[in-house]
Amino acid sequence: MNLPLRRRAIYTGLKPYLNATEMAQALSMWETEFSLKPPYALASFVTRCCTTDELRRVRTQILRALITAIESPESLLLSDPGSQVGKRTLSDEDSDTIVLDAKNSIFVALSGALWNTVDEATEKSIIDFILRNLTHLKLNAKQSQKIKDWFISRNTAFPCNFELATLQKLINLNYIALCEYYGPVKADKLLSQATHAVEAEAARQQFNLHDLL
Amino acid sequence: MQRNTCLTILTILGLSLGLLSPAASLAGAVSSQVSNETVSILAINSVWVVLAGALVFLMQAGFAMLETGMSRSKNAVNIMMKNYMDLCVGTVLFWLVGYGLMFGTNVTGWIGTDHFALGDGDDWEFTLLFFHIMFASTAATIVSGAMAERTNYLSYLFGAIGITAVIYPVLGSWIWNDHGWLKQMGFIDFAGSTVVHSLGGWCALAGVILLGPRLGRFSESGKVHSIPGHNIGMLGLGGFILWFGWFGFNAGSTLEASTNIGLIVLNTQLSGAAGAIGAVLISVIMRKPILISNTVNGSIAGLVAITAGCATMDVPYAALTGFIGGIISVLGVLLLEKVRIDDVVGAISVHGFAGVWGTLAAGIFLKGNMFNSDQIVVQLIGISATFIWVFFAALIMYGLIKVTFGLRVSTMHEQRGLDITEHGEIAYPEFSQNVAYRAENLEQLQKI
Repeated sequence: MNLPLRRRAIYTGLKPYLNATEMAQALSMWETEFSLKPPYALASFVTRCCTTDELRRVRTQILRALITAIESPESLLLSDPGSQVGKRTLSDEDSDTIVLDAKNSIFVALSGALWNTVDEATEKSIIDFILRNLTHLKLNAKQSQKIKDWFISRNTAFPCNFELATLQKLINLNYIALCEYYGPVKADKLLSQATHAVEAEAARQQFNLHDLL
Repeated sequence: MQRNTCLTILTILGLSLGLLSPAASLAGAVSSQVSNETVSILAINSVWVVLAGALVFLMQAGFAMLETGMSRSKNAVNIMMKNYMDLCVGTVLFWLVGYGLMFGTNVTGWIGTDHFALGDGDDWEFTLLFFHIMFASTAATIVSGAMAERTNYLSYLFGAIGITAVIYPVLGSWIWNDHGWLKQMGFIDFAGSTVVHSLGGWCALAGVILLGPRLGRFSESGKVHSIPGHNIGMLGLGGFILWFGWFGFNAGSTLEASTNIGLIVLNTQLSGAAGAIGAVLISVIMRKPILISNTVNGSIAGLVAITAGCATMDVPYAALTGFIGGIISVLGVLLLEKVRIDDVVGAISVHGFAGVWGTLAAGIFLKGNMFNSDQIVVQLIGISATFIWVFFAALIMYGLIKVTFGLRVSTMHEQRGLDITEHGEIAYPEFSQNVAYRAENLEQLQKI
């Protein structure tokens, strides 16, 4: 495993837990002090990353996430953030500042509702299926990378506002994945449940939910 | 003597088919003329063949109900529409082109060359045209069930046009035209186990191979997801109606009110019943659940199997033919599932495989000439020629449709269901509370 690939794994594991500043410091520390050390050194790396009480409480989860990320195939890793040595904050210009419009926020809610209906192992398989088939959506490279990163690290902020047609295709891809793992009959049922779950939110945001379907 | 027998049969038929009031009235009118002895044999035959044609027409309703019942509710309108419209386009195209290719003057033994768009002719010819229109439409509609739930509606209709205008009549000219090369060889297919049913099955096979399975039917990991039909009652009733129509299909193929109609309908009835029993028994032996879909398909396979030899087989052999047909239908469905061919209603197995068996059985159990190897060889030649012509012609036709108009709908269409995307309707608007797409959402949906 080369350095950029290992950095992607560390970044993927830490992403749900650290903000941009903490992330830059952690990646810098990993690159300068831990990147050449054996895997068991990850435990002390995580201990040093957990600089607040809040992070210390989820230390075990962070360690588990890092180990999972290191063992994951390359296709499930976030894109390389680049070397952060000497940087004060992660240069992720979009993710922290983006304000989602109604269609994108309802898309996030609907996707979440769909995944909530499945168990963890199947969710991972479904995401893997989606990532393998993202190329069929013919998104531009930047959009494709962003949406891929979001699918990998789903509890982070949605990266940008996509066109309605793209969101439709993404929901459809989700549906195809559900068909693949549960069969079309249950997929229809799960889509129906998810739709009902976000109906009220869509109405509150004055967005026609069926524009996504 | 024969004339009196014919008239008696017609009288009984007219009374027993009282529901078909215009036909019954006509039959009654004809029977009242018995004493006057003014009714010609031709008129009696015409009444019988027209009545039988009307029964075959009813089979369209049977197919529509059976196929709709075996599909998901979100595609119910689409299946009904396919069955309704393949009858319509099939009727017009067979009149315009098909009848001429099939029954026109056949010098070469391969194809008819006149009688296109028949406008002038004698009364008997119109009777035959009406009867054979029903057969052509039946051949076309077999395909709709196999290709259900993922086929572009208009592309399906183009396929139905190709079948009724070219594929079916060309095969029919070989087998049913007096100068057809297979007919000249002595090939036996009395009412169409091969001409109608195997043809429908092979067209369906070509179509589903090009279409691919429905979303999620066979997963990448090798898992097979069953997709049960939405209305079992409709499936069962469809089976009953098809069976009823089959009496017209087989007995009408005498093309005259002859005395052997009793044998034909008895053979038909026994074979259908034995087919269902065969399907149930094989399910029990294989420790599979006794599904109604397999049972109804078993009876239909029995009916398909006896269609070739219903007039030339002794009664016990008709039962045996149907019994084996029922077993074949169940095994065929399992085989297709194994090779990952998604046939929604089992049409390939029921019509294709059982049709082949029935055609072979017509040669093996030929009354007065049983187990004659020469006849069996002729049957095998006919079966093989049919497969080669029909399968490859359909493959080319659907291939052309695929590259021009597109054969399969998009995954988005499959998600919404073809009722919405192809027809803008929902089959059960008052009973669709627990679904993603309800009637009130129709206007909100964007076009795709």
